Amino acid sequence: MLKIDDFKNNVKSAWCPGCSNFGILNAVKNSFVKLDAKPQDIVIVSGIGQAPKLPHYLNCNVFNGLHGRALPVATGIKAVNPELTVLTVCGDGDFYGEGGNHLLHAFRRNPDITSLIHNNQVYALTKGQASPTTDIGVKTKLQFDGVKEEPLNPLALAIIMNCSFVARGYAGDLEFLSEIIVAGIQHKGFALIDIIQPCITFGYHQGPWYKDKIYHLEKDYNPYDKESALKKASETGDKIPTGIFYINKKPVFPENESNLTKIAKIDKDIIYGLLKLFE
Amino acid sequence: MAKTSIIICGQAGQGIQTVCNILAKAILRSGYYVFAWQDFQSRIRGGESSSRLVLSDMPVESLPEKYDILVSLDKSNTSVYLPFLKKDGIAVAEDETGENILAVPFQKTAVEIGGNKIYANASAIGTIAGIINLGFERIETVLREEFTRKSNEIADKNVLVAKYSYDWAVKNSKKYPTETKGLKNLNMKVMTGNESLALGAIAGGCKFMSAYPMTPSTGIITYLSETSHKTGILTEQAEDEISAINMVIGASYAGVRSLTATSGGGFCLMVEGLSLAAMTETPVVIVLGQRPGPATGLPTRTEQGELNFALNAAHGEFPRFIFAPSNAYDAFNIMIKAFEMSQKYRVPVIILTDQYLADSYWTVKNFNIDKVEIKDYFSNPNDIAGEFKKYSITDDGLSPRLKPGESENLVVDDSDEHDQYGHITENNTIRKLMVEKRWNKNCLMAEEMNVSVPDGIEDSELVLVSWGSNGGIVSYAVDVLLEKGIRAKNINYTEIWPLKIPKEFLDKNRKFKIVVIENNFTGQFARLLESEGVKIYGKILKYDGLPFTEDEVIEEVLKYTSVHPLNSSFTPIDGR
Repeated sequence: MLKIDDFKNNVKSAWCPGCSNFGILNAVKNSFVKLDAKPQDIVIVSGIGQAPKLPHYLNCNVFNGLHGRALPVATGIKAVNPELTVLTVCGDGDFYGEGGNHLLHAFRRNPDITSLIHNNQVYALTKGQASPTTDIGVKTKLQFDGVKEEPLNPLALAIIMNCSFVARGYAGDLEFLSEIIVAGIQHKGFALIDIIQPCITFGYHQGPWYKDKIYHLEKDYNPYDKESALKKASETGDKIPTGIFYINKKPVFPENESNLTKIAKIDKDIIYGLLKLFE
Repeated sequence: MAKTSIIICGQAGQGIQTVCNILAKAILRSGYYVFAWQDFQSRIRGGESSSRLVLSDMPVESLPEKYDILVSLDKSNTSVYLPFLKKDGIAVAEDETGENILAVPFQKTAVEIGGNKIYANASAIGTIAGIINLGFERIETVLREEFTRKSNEIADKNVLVAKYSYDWAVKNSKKYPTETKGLKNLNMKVMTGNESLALGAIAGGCKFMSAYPMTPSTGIITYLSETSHKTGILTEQAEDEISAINMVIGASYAGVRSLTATSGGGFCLMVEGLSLAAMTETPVVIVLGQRPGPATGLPTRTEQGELNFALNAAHGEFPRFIFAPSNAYDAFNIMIKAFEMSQKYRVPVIILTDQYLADSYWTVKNFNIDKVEIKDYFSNPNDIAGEFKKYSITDDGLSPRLKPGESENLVVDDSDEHDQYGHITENNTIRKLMVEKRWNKNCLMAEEMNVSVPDGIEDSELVLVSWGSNGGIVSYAVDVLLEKGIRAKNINYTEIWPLKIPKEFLDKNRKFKIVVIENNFTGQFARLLESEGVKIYGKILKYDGLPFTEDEVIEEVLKYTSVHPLNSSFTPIDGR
């Protein structure tokens, strides 16, 4: 049985002291312990930003790539070695902004990848600009007159696109978030887990603001019902639901899940056979 | 020498390429070398397109300026392509008569014999075979091979229409002067450059390809997808080129040989990923099928305008390989070398092709697959002592490489500057060491490069330097120049970067003049040579979207020789 310490390493953190990312990091470690997953069998792919530094603070395989490009890299890894547990960890700008096109096509392609999105509704590493999920009217260092664009509703978008697994967690709700991550990893197919992660430096909603508004989806909530999932995903205002919104089992990419890293060469007879057709 | 050139023209959608493909195969089986280039417009139906086919009893990889036979499947195209016909050539055209034009009822035959006008191209195939006296049995065999996949009935009708037209042509056309007799079996193959690249990828151990369709490189993923049930190669059409290269990087990180292919515009999108591959030292092979740019340019035409782009693309500084195969035979072997070099040095490899190479049908001798050696460049996890340092600093820049999940060693990669374990660092000393580590590989990489220098180069008058797909054209031109008594040699570069310069080029006392021939406006390869200290006498450049013809090259080269009447007043191009 693995312990939390098995996933710790000694890489020094570059996060602000007291950042809610630490809560998510602990939730991720917890979920790995619950899953009894070996560090060597896990690959976390990330993009650029503060959230994508998370895998560096974990003892597992890491590919920290480019802004917005975690999903294609993760898709490539999982496609050729389905034995690996593959996650992506990104921020809201990274995943919903720069990487938006890849997200749309992950819904369609459905690779067996669990995506954690630290959604703090702000570009923090570049010091406070609006993100694709910032609310209308919020004034920032760049949007002086307030944000005018409609914020992206990632959950509703995912549900509409029949995403295989759609959930929302909260960084300050460690135990529940761990459960969601465990369920996401166990789910076969693309799992989107949007995590409310208030930014303590630039966030316009600080931690306490969420405390009374966050609630867990009701015990009798049926995540297989698309209509109610959409309704829940559209809830705004004083109450913010968290939990597993939608589950939709569908074929995963790739169809043939053989581990291509274990096949060294292609049979020469096959090549001779193919060449024959050009004579 | 028996050599016949045929131009088959018509509208897009009339199946001109099918005509060309079937004839090419039948010609090869008749014991002739064959070469065919596709000339088409960026449209699905209508317009003007042609296939230009040369059969010869000598190896052929180039096109003439004028053709022996013109076959026009559509009335609107005849006048457009008639200027391509030799004075004594034969034209066959639907419903048209005139001097040297034989009216052939392709459509009527198709409907009357086959019951559908879609068999008009079978009628064209039969007619051409009849005119050049190609045995009908071979045509029939190829038609059956090609169409039985659809249905026996379709195959039968194609054969019926082709036979009718064959007999008609034998009876009605004047006998073609260079009667083609079946030669011995050449034991060769006919394939496009793209097919050869794809086969090279299979032989080179490629297991994953992701690409976004883009002319002229789409044929590679098409072939790999078509054959994936046999080869087990996984292919995926990405949502864009950014995704394509990042998927390839992911697959390569996980431990399999991976490929992507695109053209200039798509390569633009891949450039960020190119840097990522370099920074993480992840092997990737990228085929960059050049076409005339900038932007969308002439999407279905040919050019060699992206050498500078391939050399300089991406942010930051790092070593890379660039190859440019000269024909389909080269393409196969270069693809294998590309995978080996990429794996060995963990650097990106760019293979520059162009529409001329990618879409043409080439006669290809047998690949020696038994000699292909696919080495495993991964380290043995049992040999790793202590914590795995994927980026350990070594003198030659090469560090151990492992697959994630294969052992307890963790594989950590970062697009940020990283320490020896792969973790982010902003330490300036480590940064300096890592830049040097990545560059140190370049010395060994340069030693892997070959350039074939012909014997007796010192005694030549002219050395024609070309690169990539111009190899066959320039080599033919040299043969003709030699016949004219001009001491010309040619060097065709297929292994471009790191650049290897023959010592004779840098010899201050050398007697030969160097003329560089390339399909672009600024003479990019010539400039590259110049930047290394090679004095260039002149450049022959073409940038109208079309490949060089043999006659064009010969005529242009003559201007640089002592025998040319204009020589006294001729000033070579000094570059733009």
